[in-house]
Formats: sequence, structure tokens, C-alpha cells
Amino acid sequence: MSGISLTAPLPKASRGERPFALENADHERLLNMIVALMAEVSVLLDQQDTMRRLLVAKGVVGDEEIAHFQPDSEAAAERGAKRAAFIERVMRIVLADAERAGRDDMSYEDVLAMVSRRTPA
Amino acid sequence: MSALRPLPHAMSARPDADEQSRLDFAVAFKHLLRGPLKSAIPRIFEERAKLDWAAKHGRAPETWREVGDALTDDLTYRWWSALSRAQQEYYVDVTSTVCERQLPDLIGRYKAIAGNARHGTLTLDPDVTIPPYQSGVDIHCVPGSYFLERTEDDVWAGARSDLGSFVFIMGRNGPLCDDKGQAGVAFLKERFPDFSPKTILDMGCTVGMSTLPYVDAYPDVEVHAIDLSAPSLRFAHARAESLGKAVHFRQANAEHTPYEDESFDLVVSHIMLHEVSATALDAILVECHRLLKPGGIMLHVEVPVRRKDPLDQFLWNWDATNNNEPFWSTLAEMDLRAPAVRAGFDAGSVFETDIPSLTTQGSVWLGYGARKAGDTQ
Repeated sequence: MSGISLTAPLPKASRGERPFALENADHERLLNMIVALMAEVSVLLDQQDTMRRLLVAKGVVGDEEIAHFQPDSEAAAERGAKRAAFIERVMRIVLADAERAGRDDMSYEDVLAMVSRRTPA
Repeated sequence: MSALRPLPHAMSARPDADEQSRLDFAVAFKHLLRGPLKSAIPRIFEERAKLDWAAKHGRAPETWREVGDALTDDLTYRWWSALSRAQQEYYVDVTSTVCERQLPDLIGRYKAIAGNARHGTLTLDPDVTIPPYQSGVDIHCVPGSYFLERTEDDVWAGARSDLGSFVFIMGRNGPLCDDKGQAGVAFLKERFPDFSPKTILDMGCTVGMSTLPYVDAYPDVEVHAIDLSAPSLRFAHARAESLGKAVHFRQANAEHTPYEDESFDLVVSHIMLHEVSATALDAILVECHRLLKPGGIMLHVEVPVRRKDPLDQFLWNWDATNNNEPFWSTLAEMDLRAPAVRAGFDAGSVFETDIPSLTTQGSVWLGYGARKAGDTQ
């Protein structure tokens, strides 16, 4: 930080035991992450709105033009791929579970036992 | 939903566009929690939780603790509570980091304004210690609370309070967040129309939001304000100067202030009592009595924590267990007349009343106070 020197970084944990209302505290930790992510999506929507308004105000494009924009086939394909990748990123753990369910993986314990077992020559 | 903005002053933290978006999100999210989610709870209680509890206990829940026992396992209550805590921590984090980013600039502004003070004064006392009821937990879950000081002339805690209060109350206490002070003044003028104090002390003033309305309330009045927090007082001093209000700020503990006996006509506080302790409350009332001139008035404007309905009380007490407000639910239940009488006030002069908010229709503050015996000078 320019100009001043701080004796310590800004603390992130308030003094006082943190209560958890959900039955599983880890679920509630995830919930807190989701709230923060929801906020960032909200920030992005605001940014997007700012860009649109600036573009319209400066006469670069019209509001109508943005509202009725139709991507050409190349743009539509790129957009579609990005959209699918985004959904896959968010849904990764569920997709992975489904993929794993269709395989006949050796259990991790079996793998551990296998690699740890010293087979006599 | 229209986004409310505080009235900027020379000490205001200035969020950039993305930071403002985060603050707007925090407010919009809180509206959802307080609206559709929280308002579903009474119906759930009446139609489900209350009946389940009654089936187990052979009678309906009667106290707020029993209501709580009936509700804490309810899915909607649990999610509302979890989300409310998450919202609180989120908005605290955002307001904290906004002020952290601007700290060098804020300190620079403080030094420029304080170095040129024309209206009031600031007196800090490094010997003031933080009492255990303030150091035990960080009130409102603000890491570092009111007392974080990490550099010379630190104003971070004050800047965060100034920005945070407005966001926390979702703009409903007016553009300068001064409804508690404005409502206190309006109450005093209505209830004591002939009372015109010349000297006023505001206890636990933080950044002086509620202090400033008293400056213009009475002619030729001298306003003093105390707080435990040096960073809040620095900020308060510069804030008051920038708004052209004469206040004499001093770092002091409301339990034992450095002022002489009978120094003030009026002693006030705003949402301070719920952040102390039962022992400190006694000491503070004794101090108020000592500081008042004969005929002087003590007025504490508080959060309306004392509810009539046990369900309402349980929901109000959420802050006690979930937002680091340990004394809140005790204050809600205790006899307030006795400590005032023990402090020396006549029982007949002690009052406890609703004080209407001037900015939020239908909303009230709790007004608690007493008048010292004797004739006004």
C-alpha cells in the first residue's frame, strides 16, 4: 500500500465463535462461497449494463441494435461452445460422479493395497 | 429497486464501480432475506413448528427461548439464518476492503481536515483501555471491531463504520444515517418542550452520525461526544468538521468519564447500551447521573429490542447469537427502571417509550431515560 505502512494485514476472522445454522457446517461454508460468487455475477451484470449504456450514449451502437443482436453462425457457434464449457465447469462434480458411475474403477483402497503389497519374488 | 446512496462528505469512503456493485448486491440480497424469506417464518411457526413443539411438550411454546427451540430445526429458519450470517460477513468484508484500498487517501484527508479544524476539537487518550464486553468478541462480526489500529493516524475503523452503517441499515436511516439523533431530538422537544440544554454529551458516538443533529437542535449549545475508539474519533472529528458542525470529541469510557460533576444538561447515547454489559450499564447510569446538572435529562436511544411477542423477540434476538451482540438479549429482558433508580434517578422520572423513526414509517427506536431531580439552572 502506497504512502503508509501497516503493522498487520486486515484480519478476515471476527473474534467470537462462528455459529452455523445448517445441519452440516461444510455445506454452510459452501453456501458462503456461493453468495460471494452470486455477488460477482451481479457485479458482471452491472459492468455489462455500464458498457451497453456507454456504447449507446456515445452513439457506437443503438439500444435496439443490442437488444436484437443476432450472432452470425460463427459467433453463435463460439458462444454456444463457451456456454457449454461454462455449464460443464459449474456442474463438474456432478458430471464426474456420473462418469465414474459408468466405469468399473478399482476402489482406492484396493489400489493402495495393491501398490503397498510386496509380492515375494 | 432504486439504489440508495449516502450523502457524501469529505471523509466518505468512495467505492469504485465494482465495489459499489458489490454493496448494491449486499443490500438487494438483504432485502430478499428480510422480505420473502423472513416473512415466511411466522406462518411456518404457526402452521408447523408450533404444533410439532406442542405435540412433544403437551403445550404451546410460550417464551422466546421455547419459540426458538421450536424453530431452530425448521428448514426455512435454518436457511434464512445461514444466509443472513453469510450476508453479514459478505457486506462486512466488502466495506472493509473498500476502506482498506483507500486507507492512505483517507488518512491524508483526515490529516488535512483535522490540521485545519475550525469548529470542534479532538482529544485522544492512549490510557483508555478496551473493556472486556467490547474486546471479548468483535461486535457485528467486523474483524478488528472498532479498535483496529495498524498505522499512525489510522481511521480505517471509522471509515468502515461510516460506510457500513449505511449499507447495514439499507439506507433507511437517512442520507447521513442520523435518524437516531434526529428522532432523539424530536422526542425531547415534544416531551420536554421547555427544556433547552446548553451542554450536551453523547456517549459511544462512534463516527458521530447521531451526535450531529444535536448541534443544530438548540441555540448556543455546546456538544461533546465520547467513544472508546481512537480511529472512530479521528474519523468523527474530520467528518463533523467537513460538515461544518462543532463537536468536541474525546476518547473516554462512558463508565468513568473525565468530566466534572454536573457538567451537562443533557446526556444521550444511541444504540450503545446493547453493546455493553449488565455491570457496565449500572456504571454508565451512575455516570450519567453524576454528569447531569439538576433538572438535566438522560436519554438513551436504543434498538427496539424489547418485543412483546415471543416469536418477534426470538427473531429480534437473532443478532445476539448470530451477529456478535452478546448483551442484546439480556437488555431485551432486564428491568430498566431498577438500575436507573440505583444510579440516583427518581423512579417517577424514569421513562421507557417508543420513539418514532423520522425516516422509516412505522419503525420505532426504544427511548430509555430519566430526569435528574432539581430545578434546571
